[in-house]
Parts: sequence; C-alpha cells; structure tokens
Amino acid sequence: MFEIILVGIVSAVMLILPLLLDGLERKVKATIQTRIGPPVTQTLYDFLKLMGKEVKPFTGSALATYMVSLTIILQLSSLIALNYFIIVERSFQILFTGLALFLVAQASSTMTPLLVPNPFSQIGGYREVVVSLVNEFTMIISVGVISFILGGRAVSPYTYIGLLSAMITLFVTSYVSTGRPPFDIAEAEVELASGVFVEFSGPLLAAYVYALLTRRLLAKMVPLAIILQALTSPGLLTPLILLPLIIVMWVIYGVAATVVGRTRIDLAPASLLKLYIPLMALSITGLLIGVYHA
Amino acid sequence: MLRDPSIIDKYVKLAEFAGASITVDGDTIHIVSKPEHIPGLAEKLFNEFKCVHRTCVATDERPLNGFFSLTHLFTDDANGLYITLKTYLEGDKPRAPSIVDQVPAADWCEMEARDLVGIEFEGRSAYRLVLPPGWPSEVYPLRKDFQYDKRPNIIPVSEKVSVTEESSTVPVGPYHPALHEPEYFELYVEGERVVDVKYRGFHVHRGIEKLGESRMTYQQVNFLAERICGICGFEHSTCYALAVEKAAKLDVPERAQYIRSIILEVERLHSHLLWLGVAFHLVGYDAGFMHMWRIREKVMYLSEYLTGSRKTYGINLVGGVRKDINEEKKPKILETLETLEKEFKELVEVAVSVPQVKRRLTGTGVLPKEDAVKLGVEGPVARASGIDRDARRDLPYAAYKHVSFKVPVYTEGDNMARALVRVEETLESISMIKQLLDQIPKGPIRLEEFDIPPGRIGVQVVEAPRGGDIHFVITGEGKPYRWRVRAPTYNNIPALKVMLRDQPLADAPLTIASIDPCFSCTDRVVVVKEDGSVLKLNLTQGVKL
Repeated sequence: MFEIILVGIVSAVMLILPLLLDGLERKVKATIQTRIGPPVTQTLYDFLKLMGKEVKPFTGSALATYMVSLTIILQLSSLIALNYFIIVERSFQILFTGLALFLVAQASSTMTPLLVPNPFSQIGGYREVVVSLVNEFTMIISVGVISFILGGRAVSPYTYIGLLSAMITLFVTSYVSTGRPPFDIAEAEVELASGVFVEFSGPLLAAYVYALLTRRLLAKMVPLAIILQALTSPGLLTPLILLPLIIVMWVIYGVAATVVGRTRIDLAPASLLKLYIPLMALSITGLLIGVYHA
Repeated sequence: MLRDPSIIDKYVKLAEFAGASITVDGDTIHIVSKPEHIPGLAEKLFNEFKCVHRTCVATDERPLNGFFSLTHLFTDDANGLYITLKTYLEGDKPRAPSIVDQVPAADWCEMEARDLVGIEFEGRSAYRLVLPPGWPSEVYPLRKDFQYDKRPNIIPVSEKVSVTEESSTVPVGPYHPALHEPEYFELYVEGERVVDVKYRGFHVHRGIEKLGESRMTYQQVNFLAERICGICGFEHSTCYALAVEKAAKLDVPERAQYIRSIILEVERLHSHLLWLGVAFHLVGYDAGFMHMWRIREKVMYLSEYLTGSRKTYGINLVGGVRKDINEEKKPKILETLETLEKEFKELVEVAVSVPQVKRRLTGTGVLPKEDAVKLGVEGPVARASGIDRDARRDLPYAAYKHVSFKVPVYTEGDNMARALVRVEETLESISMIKQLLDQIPKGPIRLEEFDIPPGRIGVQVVEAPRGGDIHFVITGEGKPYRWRVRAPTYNNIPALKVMLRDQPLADAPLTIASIDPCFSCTDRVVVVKEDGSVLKLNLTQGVKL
C-alpha cells in the first residue's frame, strides 16, 4: 500500500514539475543570452492566469478540447505506469504499457492541430506529423532493442556497442519529441503565427501548453527509467535519483536548444534519417550478433 | 568633381536628337522633353546609358505655369550624375505615356502619380496602388487645390483573401508576427512550396509630402523627414537637407558634412545589427538574436553620446547641423568602436557557422542579377545580386569623398549574400567612422544666414542601410513647393515576387525580412476610423489612436 501511495506522491510532484522546469529552462536560456529573464515560477503563473481566463470558442473547439483532455489523461496514465515500474514492480509489460501510453499521447497531441480548421494550425500539425513519423518509429525500435538486450536475451560484448548505440538513439529521439529547436517547426516558424496555438485561448491554451510540457517530462523520463531499472532496485531510491536527473537533463536539453537554429520541414526528416539509420543499423547489428552468440 | 566633357556631350546629343532642352546644373542634368519622346529617352537612358531609374515625381505646377509635370529621376552612377527627365502635361486630366515597357522599375511610381496627382498613363494597365480602396475617385491629394486638412468621405471596403483551386492560400498580414508593420502578402502554396505571391501594401497613409509642402517651413521639414523611418530617419533628414542645399546652392561647412557622415554610419551600424538579430531570430537562433542586439546597444549608447538621443536625433538642419562632436569625446567613441568590432566579429563567426543558420540562409530567396537590374532594387539587396552600386561612392555626398571604403558585392543573390553584405558593411562603417573622426576639420557647424530662392530643383540620393533614399525638392516661398520622398523598400518590395517564388514556405518570412523592409517608409495622412470617418491631424497634440 505504501508503495502505491508513494507512486501517487511522486506522480503528483511530477505533474507540477514541467511548469517549474520550463521556468528554469527559460532562466537558463536567458542567462546564455545575457538577459535577466522571467522568474522560474513564470510559466506556473502564466498557466494559472490562463486557467482563469475565458475560452474563445472556434469551429471544432469541442473536438480540440476533447483531444487535449485525452492527451493529458494518457500522459497521466503513462506517468503513473512508469512510476509504478520504477517504484513497485520492474516488469517490462508495465514499462511497455507506460511507453505505449506515452506514444499514444504523442499521437493524440500531434493530431490536435489537424482538427483546428485554420491553415496555420493545419500546416503546423502536418509538420509535426512528418517529424513524428520518423522520430516515434525510431524511438519504438530503440526501446525494443534496449529492452531485448537488457532483458538478457542477447549476450555478447558486441551487444554493448548495440546497446550504447540504441541508448544514444533513444536520447536523441527523446530530445526531438520535446519539440525544442531545431525541431520546433510546428509552432515556432514565424509564418505560422504560432501554428498549433493559433486558435487556442484561456484554459484550453493552458491545457495544451501543459500537455506539451508534460510531453517534455515524459520524453526525458522514458530513457532515464530504462537506464535506472538496470542500476537500481524498486523503491524510493529510484525516484529520488530520477527527479534530479530529469532536472539536469531538462537543463541540458534547454542549453542545447539555445545554441542551435531551427531546421526546416523539408530538411528535418532527412537530417533525422541520416542520423538514425546508422545508429539503428549499429544497434540492430549488435543485437543480432548477441542473439547469434547466445 | 571634374568630369570628362564627353560624358555631358552624350547627354546633350541625346536631348538634341529628341528635340528636348537640356540644362546642366552641378551634378544634375535636366532634360525637358515633349511627352511623346519620354519613353524613347527613358529607354536610351536605362538600356544604353545604363542609368538607374530611381523614381518619378508628378507635380501640380498649374499655379506656376498652368501645367502638370512628370519627372523621371535617373542616376548615372558610373559618372556621378543625376538625370531628371521632365515633361509638361496639359489639362485637368493630364495624360502621359508610360515607360513601364522600357523601364519596369517605373511601375509603382507611375501608379502613385496616378493616385495622388491624377496623371493617367497610356500604354499600360492601371490600378490603385497607394490610396485606400474606399478613397473617392477624382480626388487627388497632392494637387495644389487639395487642402492638406480636407477630409474626403471614405467608404471602407474590405478585401477578401483570394482562393484558387490549384494551390492553398496562406495569408501573411496585414497584422502578423512575421511583419512588424501592417502589410499583406498572400502566399499561394503547393505543399510547402510557394508558387506565387500577391502583395498588398500602402496600409499606412501619412501624407508626409503634403504636410511638407503645405504647412511646414524648410527647417521644420528636417524633423518631419527624420520621422519617415524609425530606423534610418537620419538618412531621410540628411537627404532632404542635401537636396534643399543643392537647389539653393548653399556651401555647407565641411565640419557639418563630416558630422552628418559620422551619424549616418552610426545609424547604418545599428540598422545592420538590428537586421542581423532579426534574421537570426527568424531562423530560430535566438542566442544570436539576443547577442546581436546586446552588441547593438553599444551603438545606441554611441548615438546618445554623440547626439543626445538614442534615435531620431534631430540634429540636421538645412545649412548644417545643430550639435558638434567635441574633441574630448573622440577617445570614448574609438574605445566603443574597438569593443564593438571585436565582439561583432566573434559573434558573426559563431552565428553563420550554426548549421541551421547556414542552411536556411544559403540558396534561399534568390534574386538573379537580371531581375535586380530590371526592378531597380537598392542597397544590400542589389549588391548581393551582383550590382556594384553604392551612392556613398558613386554619387558622393556629405564627407564620403574623404574616406576610403570597400563596397561589398556578392553574386549569389540569396539570403546569405544579403546577410554577408550587411556584415561587411558593418565593419566598413566602423572603419569609416574612425577615418572621419581622425580627419574632421575645425570650423563652424552650420550656416547662420542664407536664402533659398524659389523655383529651384534639388535631387539627392543618400545611401541608407536599406539602399538609396531619394529626395526631390522644388523650392517654394519659405517651404518646399514640391517634396518627393522615395525610400529604398519601395523599389525592393516588387523583387519579393521573384525571391519568394518556388521557395519553401518556411523561408518566406526570412526572405521578406532579407530586403530589410521598412513598410511605413514606403507607404504614403489619413487615419481612418472603423466607421469610415477620418481623424483630424493635430500637429501639436498628435493623433489619438
């Protein structure tokens, strides 16, 4: 019972974390850009203020509200499943459930802008789908390879090369799925006038932004949970290690986002494939050699 | 400047051939011809003499001589000459032959002359360019019988977004995050590729020329001219002052000309640094944007140190300047410039090597030289497309003849070329300010007494950060009889159609920004309320919006 309560407490803390970590990221970016920047709690203040504002309905707003709500519920479920995995039971079925919920939440989030009848939102949504198709697919393969190797079904020194390659792929895919530069092409390209955000207002906007930030948290949590499950035992210690690691990783991703520019939709998939294909080839080769030796 | 007499001779022969009269006045050749000979003469000037068509000016000269006039303004940059090609037009509904077939760059200025003065152009399609769609017909605001405070009844007309079956329409503007001023672009896209572009500008009607001609004095117009642009206002006030001084043949103290040149270059510095920051922002490289603007702050400090204002300095007068640069200021200026140069070089080196910045600037928004020449584009846009033209060198004014500098020219014509032209110009400007400070002569900074006789013409080009500003002045009694202003964006916007076509949609804002557009400089005083009524301008209290 204590473990279940612990999962609830850790999940609750993690639900507030994205709003504060985004504030931290803004502060770090501001420091790099020689600005003072807003206070760390600014994103939280913005969220609370937007929640208190009225919604300006638009054609299809009911459907969009449903999709945003669905995304948040799926993310929450994924978060609980992943916390259950690291705190209570190290079952790969639970890990895959958490991962599957995360990916479905990603798909739901990606689809939302396509339901908004506005050209800017549609173009933004289309761009996000294109990047997601390349990225999420690779993420699934990399998690599969890692799980297979860590599950002990492939044993060989070469396997570690495959594991390392798959881990690098997983971290890259987790970065891309956070929608930071250079992959913020769905909403940040200037001609889109905020793209996917264009029709959202008040609590709906707050909820959509919150879903995007939670996605960032989950995208970091997935690879870290996979690493930590191999190094720690279930219990309180893992989330105590996980939380600082998420903060550190959030800051690192924030710094990385500051020193690059934005790619273009016709360049993004090609650039990602150029990176992913060799990495995945190496991972799968390592895996196959491991299986052969086993 | 000493010129080869054969250069003037060829213009004399050209005029004689067309039965036109010719007058040479300093660096300006005035050709007055019958209307029917204007297209032929314009063709010769543009295609054979390789003159640059800067703009045209329609003037209501009926109170003076009973005619309207149309003057095409060319510059022969290779020989440092201004050419005015003028014709007189009869009647209340004057007609003039169009020169668009011969000189495509004249398209907008002819339509502006039609809107504002009521000159009909033969041999071309006509459309309303400058005035709002609801402006009553046959009301021409720049005619002399139109009072500056007259309020015609404007019926607001809304314009619809064009929809085509072949492509999707992405509206950009009139209020859009990619544009910092009200303008409207319709981008027709297939997938993520722009296949065609429609531009609708002139949303801002400030009536600056009318104010300058009707209720301001020569010296007051300096301050109005500086408010044409929020970035390169000093170029406009200098251009106006130089045009009036040229018309009145005023010998302005050399120290004043040095001070003008120094401030002009300071303004170029902050404009280019601003633009580079915006370009980095548009490609998502916000670290570059913030650091570029941090460096720019030093220039703003320098502006305040030299003039008392960070922007809109208000130091230009006809006959000189109002503020001197003291000897004791020099060390601090030089120190600031040294730091600026060092930090700028470091930042540019890092920024242009960021992969996304490099890829998105290179090969996008290409403007071939041939189109650049036809459209008469200006400034860094022209120089990035292989046109070696810079008024500071070719039509020297102020103190530019006393400094050495390089004019950067690239042939690629893409966004990267335009960025690199501005980078090199920034470094050249730093060098020029140092040279000017070193050479600045002692003496007075303005003429105390002078006369400006009426009926004289002055034309001046000043190389602003975005290209050549041109001011044309016909002197009047205590104020300009006619004052025509043309900002460089006016000539650069038509090139966007070429630059945007067949380009990725995502690069459209960057390409639009690459001409460093100043839309309100380009636009032409009415403030129209939602109900269609017009707010009365009050020059002492301003306009409540």
